[in-house]
Amino acid sequence: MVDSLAAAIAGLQQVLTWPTPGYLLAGVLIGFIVGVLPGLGASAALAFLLPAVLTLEPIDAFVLLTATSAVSAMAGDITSILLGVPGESTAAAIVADGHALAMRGEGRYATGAAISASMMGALFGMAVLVAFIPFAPSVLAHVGSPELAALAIVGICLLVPLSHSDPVKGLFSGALGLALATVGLDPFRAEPRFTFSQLSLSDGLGLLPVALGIFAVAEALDMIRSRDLHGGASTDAGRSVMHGMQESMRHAGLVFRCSTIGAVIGSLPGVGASVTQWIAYAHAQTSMRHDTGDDNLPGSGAIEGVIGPASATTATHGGAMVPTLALGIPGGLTSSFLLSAFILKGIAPGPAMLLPASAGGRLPLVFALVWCTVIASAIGALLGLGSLKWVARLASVRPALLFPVILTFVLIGTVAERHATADLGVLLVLGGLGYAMSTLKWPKAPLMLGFVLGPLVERRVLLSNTLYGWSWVLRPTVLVLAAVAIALLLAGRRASRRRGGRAPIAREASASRADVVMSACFAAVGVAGLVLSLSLTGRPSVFPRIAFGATLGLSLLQLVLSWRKAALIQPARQSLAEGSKHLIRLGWFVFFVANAWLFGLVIGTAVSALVYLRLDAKESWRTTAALTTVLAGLTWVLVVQLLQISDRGVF
Amino acid sequence: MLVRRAIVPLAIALAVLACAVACHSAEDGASSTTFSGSQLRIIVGFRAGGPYDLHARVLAKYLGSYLPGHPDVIVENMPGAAGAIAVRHLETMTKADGLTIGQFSHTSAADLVASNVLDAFHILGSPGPPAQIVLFSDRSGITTIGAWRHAPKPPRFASSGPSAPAYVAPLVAAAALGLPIQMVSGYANGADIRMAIDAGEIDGVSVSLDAYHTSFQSADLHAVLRFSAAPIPGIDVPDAMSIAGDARARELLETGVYMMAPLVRFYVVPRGTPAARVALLREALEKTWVDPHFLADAQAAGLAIDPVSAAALEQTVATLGARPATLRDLRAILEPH
Repeated sequence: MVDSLAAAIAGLQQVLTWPTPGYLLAGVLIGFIVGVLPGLGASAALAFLLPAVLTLEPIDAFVLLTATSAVSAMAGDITSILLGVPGESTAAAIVADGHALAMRGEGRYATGAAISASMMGALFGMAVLVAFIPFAPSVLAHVGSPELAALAIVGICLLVPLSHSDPVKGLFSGALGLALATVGLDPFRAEPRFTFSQLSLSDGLGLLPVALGIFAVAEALDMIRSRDLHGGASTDAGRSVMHGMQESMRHAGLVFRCSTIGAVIGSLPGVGASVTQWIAYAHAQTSMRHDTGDDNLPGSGAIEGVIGPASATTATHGGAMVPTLALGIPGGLTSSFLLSAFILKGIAPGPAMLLPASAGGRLPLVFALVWCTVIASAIGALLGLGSLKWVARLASVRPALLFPVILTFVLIGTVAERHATADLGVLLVLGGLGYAMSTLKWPKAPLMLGFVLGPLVERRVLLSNTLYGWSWVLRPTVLVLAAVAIALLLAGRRASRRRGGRAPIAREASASRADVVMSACFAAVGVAGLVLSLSLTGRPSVFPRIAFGATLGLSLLQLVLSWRKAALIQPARQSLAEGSKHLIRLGWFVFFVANAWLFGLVIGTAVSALVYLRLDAKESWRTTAALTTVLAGLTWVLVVQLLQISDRGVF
Repeated sequence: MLVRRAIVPLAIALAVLACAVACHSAEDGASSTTFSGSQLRIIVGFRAGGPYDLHARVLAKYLGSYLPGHPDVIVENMPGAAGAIAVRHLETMTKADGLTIGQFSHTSAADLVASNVLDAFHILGSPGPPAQIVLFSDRSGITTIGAWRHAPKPPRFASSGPSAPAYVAPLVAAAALGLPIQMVSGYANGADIRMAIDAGEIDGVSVSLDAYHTSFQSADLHAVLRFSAAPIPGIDVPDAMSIAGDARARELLETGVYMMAPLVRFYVVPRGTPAARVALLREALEKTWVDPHFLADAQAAGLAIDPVSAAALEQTVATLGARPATLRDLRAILEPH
């Protein structure tokens, strides 16, 4: 105890001894900037900073990297809420409810809640790190493929509560997410599945192209629709930042549960914040109050949908550091950079890290990282709140001007993840899908949950089967997790019953002929997927057949339901005109993507913005030229200078 | 209004900056004997933060100083398909001007020969073969080759998939030396494998010496076999080649593991690159790999450096191509089940 206290004080001294605070502030600023800018993630920033580690003092290097990754997740929430575009791949779950709140004029309220929940999550994650790290080696030694498989299946069961506003569509959306996750080389024999001989699809669909396509493109295209209005998301009306922060306090139980989800699940290698945010989001759906009307439906602006994922994401950071420090096994992508930095500085993480300095350990360094995260999160939160006024101005810019800017960031983010222009094709398809789902009010969050959990379920279930046969389902931990899954299913059913009277609003709005067409298209996708999976044999064929089979079955069921509804409703007269407007919006999206693919991001987005601003938005030449030049310059700085991508189009 | 007022001066400043950069870039590639004012790009086919990336980033820090004109050297990650996306990019999208070099990785001799690497690229050299060693967990009870040979049931080995060195080396060794083995593929990465060992769900793994020092060195893991003619300090285990019983076993090991070792990490430029630049790049790499500062950084990062020249690598590839029967055997041994 005395040793721990001495180490905590020594750790704080290390962080506060100049020039370390300077590196901490630099990390906070870098993390804030990459977090706020859509598409630029913490991993890109850490890769960029890693060479600097070679020349810095060890403590300065670790503080720089830790502060950057700690703040970026928090800052990403601001963009997700105000612009509807995930600032980070780990801030995608917050878009659904956070941006809906912003569109209702509650941007400050939602951002206040997100920042305070993030702060609490970060503190919780660090508390878990300090408390759990001594036991980590023995606990993690009992976590094998069966336990991870059961955990992933529990996550899949969360599709039920996540889908309670429209069960068939929600479950279909989840099944489609699982099916999309099977694209690429199978994890066992490296056999190509649904790659259509495209090398770029061999590693599957990237998380950012999928998240940006499903959420951000629809949001950007909505800006064309509302370009005659003044401003998209508003922050001026509605409740204040302080109200949002108080809301997080009022939901302390939810923050605690979601932080636990983040820290505990995040401590398992391979399960990062991209997964925990969605599990927390799904859990938050089961925790919603039932006395606030239809605004509290999932994706309609429920504050629980903001607080849950915000706290889980930052808590994951602490959880992921547990195996990194205790075992030298990186808990996630960002902690793998920290591990690289340790190695570069000649420090071997492992149980010895936890011994006091007098016994040859590095406990003061562990505490220094904890302090660094706490201080960086606090400064990041203040920075976020302080800059909200400025960042929020973006949201009050006319949508006509904002549309090309947002779409440019979406394109940059898509290419940035894997430096692959082929991912623009993925964005094109999924952007169209996301827009159609948004327009027809099909739930999108289950698709993301299915997509992020799919690989984990497939890999771990089949590994468990290879290693243990079916006896793995009888392991004690697996049985406990199965009980949790059943409890979640029952909770979802109870919530669905309680909401039974209000859900039809969403259903009736979507019960149209377009729904019939959409269901038929999805059924065709299911059939095509099943037919293609017939050419696969053995283990690689199992999961695709289940996923596409579920996609087909649920889309056919929805087809029947929509057909019945459509028969009861008179066809709307303006449907043709409305349809052509949708096509025009999608046309602009295709135009931007095609130009980026043909001419590269810098020239392509500049050309697209120029044409759009003049022809469609009818801006003056002066504004068009100025905005186009700014966009081209900004894209050049981000793409060529910072991300160091070879920005060459087909030409 | 405020936004518009800010946009116009910013736009002018950026336009001036863009013109300056365009003029600067026009000088690029003006001469094939100097890299002055240029930027050299290393394309890595694996994600940032991993061992391949780490190697390229340490190299990037020093390589420029050994090239005439001292260009900036940057690393671009292009992960996917076990490095194949980076290969295709270098083959089809890159100008053959010596300003973009690729870090390639091959583990299967048969696939390397089939890829016709020498037709599309000039090999520049390899920083050296990271020797592979076979480790067994405490729980497996296997501490010697004899115990492995007489194990009551085939020990389970972990790998991420057929293109991983952890898949190739143990399967070839088992076939050549008559050892029992069950290969379990499907683990995402080294961290996953390490966790599986700790949880007792697999018995053994083959890792590079780099990975051993950074992630697998533990009192619970015992080295049993090495794939390296040279002794490894601190790891007193037999060399696989020394216990191979006959000529066929030795040829399988040599072709499938030993000759492939330096090709797990090597550098190339596209064919068509001016010969003068190829020579300058080869010379610069050779000088960098013996630079004491580079070696100190590499050692700190746990990276083994034992350079192999371009000529030696090209000879290796040619020799591999002249062994079609052995390549057929290797393909059968490595066929996923």
